[in-house]
Amino acid sequence: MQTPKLPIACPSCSASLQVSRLSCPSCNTEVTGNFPLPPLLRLPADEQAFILQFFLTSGSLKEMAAQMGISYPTVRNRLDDLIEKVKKLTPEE
Amino acid sequence: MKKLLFNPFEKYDARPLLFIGLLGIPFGSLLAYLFGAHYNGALDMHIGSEDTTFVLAFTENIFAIALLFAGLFIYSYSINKKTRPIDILSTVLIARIPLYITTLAGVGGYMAKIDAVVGDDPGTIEKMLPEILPVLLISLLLIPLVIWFFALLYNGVKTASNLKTTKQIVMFIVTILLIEIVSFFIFPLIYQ
Repeated sequence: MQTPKLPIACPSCSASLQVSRLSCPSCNTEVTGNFPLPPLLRLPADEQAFILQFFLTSGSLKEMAAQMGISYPTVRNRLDDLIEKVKKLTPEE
Repeated sequence: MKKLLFNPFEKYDARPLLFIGLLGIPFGSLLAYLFGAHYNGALDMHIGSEDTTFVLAFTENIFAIALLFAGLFIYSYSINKKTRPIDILSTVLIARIPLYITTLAGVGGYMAKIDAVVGDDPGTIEKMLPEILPVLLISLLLIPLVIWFFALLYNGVKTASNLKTTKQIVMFIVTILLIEIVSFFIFPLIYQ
């Protein structure tokens, strides 16, 4: 069975979703509240995969470009765009 | 295929593109020499010259490449400090390939002959319409090559510098025009 994707946007109005209930699969304890999703989880699955690949290649854009079959500047542009996006999602302290 | 022709920079690394582009320099210069063409401007190719030599075409080519590279690198660096010179150089070299192909319009010296006969007298054009018609058709065939040249330049710079906004696109067009204007002053140095 396919792992269900974590929905990050409201299917009705497209606003960012928040976590309101968490449960323990072992003892069924439930926690309710209002927890915003961390910035990285608010990214679409393909962008999360890109960041994971960046981490797994120790930040080598050249290696990522070779693995993804695209050019170095294309990978760097995607990373720069993603940095801007994460900056906007991260609340300033 | 469309992407390969118009934006190879997104997929292929700068080194193989640079290699192909460097091979294009003597190839393009040879075509200019064989078909009596001049690359007498950063974006120019003119047919109808009998004094073209391989060395002259090669020199013009190098000047055009240097000017385009310098102008586009300054522009790209101003919008993105991470721009690599190798990406801009490979863009310029690859983009010139369609320009080299336009020299084929000079095959048989047909265009040069028409140009010599018509000269500056517009009245001759009407009389020679049957002869001029093929030249017009050739000119129409050249338009896609010119579009290809500019599309490659734009896509290469876009990939190298991550240009996006309308302001940046307008500045790119202004940069191209400035490079062409500067080339009007630089190119006469070759012919001294």
